[in-house]
Amino acid sequence: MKTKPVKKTVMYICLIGLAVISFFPFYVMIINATRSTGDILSGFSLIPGKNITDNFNEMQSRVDVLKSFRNSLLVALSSTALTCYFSAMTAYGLTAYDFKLKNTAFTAILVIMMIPPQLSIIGFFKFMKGMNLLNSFIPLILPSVASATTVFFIKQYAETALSRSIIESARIDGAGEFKIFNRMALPILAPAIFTMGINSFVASWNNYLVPLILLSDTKKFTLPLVIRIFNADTQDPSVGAMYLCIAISIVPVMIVFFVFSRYIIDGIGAGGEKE
Amino acid sequence: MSSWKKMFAGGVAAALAVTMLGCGGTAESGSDAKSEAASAKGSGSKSESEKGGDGPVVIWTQGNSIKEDAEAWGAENGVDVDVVVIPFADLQTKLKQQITDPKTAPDVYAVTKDYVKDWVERGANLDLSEEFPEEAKDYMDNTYKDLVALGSNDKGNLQAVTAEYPVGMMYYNREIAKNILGTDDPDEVGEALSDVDTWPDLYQKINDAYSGKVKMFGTTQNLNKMLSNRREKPYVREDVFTVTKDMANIFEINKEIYDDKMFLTEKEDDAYFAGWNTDAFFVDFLPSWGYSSKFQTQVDGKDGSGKWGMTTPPYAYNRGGTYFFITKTTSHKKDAWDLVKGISVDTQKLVDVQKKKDGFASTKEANKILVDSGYEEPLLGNQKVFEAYQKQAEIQEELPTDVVTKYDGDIESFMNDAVINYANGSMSLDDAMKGLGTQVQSAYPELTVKYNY
Repeated sequence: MKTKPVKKTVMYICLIGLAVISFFPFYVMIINATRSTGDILSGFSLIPGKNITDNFNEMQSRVDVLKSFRNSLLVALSSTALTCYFSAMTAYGLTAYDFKLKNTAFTAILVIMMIPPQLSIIGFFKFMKGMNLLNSFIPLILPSVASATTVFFIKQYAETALSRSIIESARIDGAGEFKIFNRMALPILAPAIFTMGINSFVASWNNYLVPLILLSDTKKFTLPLVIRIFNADTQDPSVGAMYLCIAISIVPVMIVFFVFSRYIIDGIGAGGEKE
Repeated sequence: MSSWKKMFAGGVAAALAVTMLGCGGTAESGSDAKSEAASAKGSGSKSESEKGGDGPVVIWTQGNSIKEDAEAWGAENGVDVDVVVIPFADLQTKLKQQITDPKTAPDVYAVTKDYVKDWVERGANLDLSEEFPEEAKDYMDNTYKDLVALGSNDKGNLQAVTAEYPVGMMYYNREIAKNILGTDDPDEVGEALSDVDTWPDLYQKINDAYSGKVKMFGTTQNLNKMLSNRREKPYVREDVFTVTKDMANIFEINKEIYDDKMFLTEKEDDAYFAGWNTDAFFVDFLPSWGYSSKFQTQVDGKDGSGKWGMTTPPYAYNRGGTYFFITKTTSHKKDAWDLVKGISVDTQKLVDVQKKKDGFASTKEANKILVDSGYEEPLLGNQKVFEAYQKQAEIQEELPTDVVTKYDGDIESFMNDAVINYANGSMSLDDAMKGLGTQVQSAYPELTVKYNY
């Protein structure tokens, strides 16, 4: 009995240590956002500097980071909404209905999952150029409608969580197929949708390659492009402004994780259950 | 249930709103953008439909200073300018992908020295000598010959211009120089370090005097930028890349430096930057633009202020510098040329910019004004900084101008890796040299690789 508190103490010390290690890079980033470029390059410090206003002004004078923030938010939220809704609908269709070539369709989704997105990037660029859609957010948002990985994950979850008898009872009660999906299936699939929604949001928020290739208009730049700009100029570096920009850029990701982290755990746990 | 309904209804509504906004964006890049561009000088955007000469002049660059200069020029001259800053590595990729298509190409683009020859030879640029013969000739007459040679094609026609002459200097710590060499006079310090063979003995003296706390060099990265410039022949001639004795010599110099631990760091890291204020190293090699971007930011108002001097390095070298090209497909020829001239050729502009950052201009006329100003830089112990650059520029004028090829950027990067692998003992000299040849061969299959070391 006496060993239990000791074990617990050791466990807490280890966990606190791990938490400190995990948080430390974020702390350094926030501290550096308040220091001048010269100070940052001269060495490491745990004490905040006094240059946050200068860094902010420098940041905004180089690129309109706040506008890029809005662009990123628009793209990430929209693509996440599209991914969640339409992937859930596809997964529901593959689970709730029996139709010809159902297995072939699912196999096709699996195959698409295995193709690295970088392979299609040049073709995608040419396609968008042909469609006159360069310097537009549409190519960054609309392809999210078809997300093979999200469909796969939600379908696997739906197979264990979504009972056909619920769907049939709804039909007997006179609900249409679309209504059944919206009012019955979606709430049941919520943990899986949230899990993939968070992943989708973070992936879209951090997406660098596709915006780099498709966007050349600075007013349309998303945050990852802007952050790289601060790092680009070796002759005129502004490291403090870059750290501030990075600190601003991770705020939404942190909020998403803090608010929705329990859904991730639920989703992962639920995905592992089998009846 | 109702909350779910609301949430997903909201999601769908957001998706629809985005689609509408996205469509709005496309329309904006069409006719609406013209009026926007007209009302927002210096910050408009160019799209395909605008490239009839009405849209902004679009510049792709990797440097923020160019953005400031170009936007200031646009505001002064009433020309709408849109500057797109793209990181170095991505700029190359994006240019290669989009430069030949008038729908996607910028009007002006700026690349660094190592990649200038590559872009000169791609044939995507406006021939400035043909398009603006008199002004191009004026620039060529008034600019240092190696800068002109680099920006010209094989016919000698000007394709690219630059604002800066990035003469390579050697920075030295005055206190250490006095202690070890008995003088901090730039000429005498330059002379004392001019022979590579004397470096080990000199380092021994430093080691004895400072008990190993002071290194001879700041970084091997900057040292090798200087050493690699000592070649008298190009890396690639008639499609043959030759691994030469000169290269082997650089490998051996580095081996000795690594064996004796004569350097502080390999790359410009925190220890190196801190070293400017802590007497951690004796000399370092930076080009003229390195003064404002690396040296001044470190020592201004700190312990290193006034402790350093600059002098002639053992081997004359140029490093970096930005060159402006105008694309063949531009619909803004005149504005683009005026812009490029305004930020890179105009004498008063060059004087103002280089005076502000203690740099060195590309034209002799501007540099004469800078030198005649007699400015003494307190951070460099009141040294006449422009005079020091001028002296170095005169030395560099004597160097051959035909050693730069379009392959140099990649070859030097491969060579740097191979040098480190040999110097730190990971590879034998033969393996490192063969590895260098193999890397060049895989990057440029059209080249033949020969070994002559």
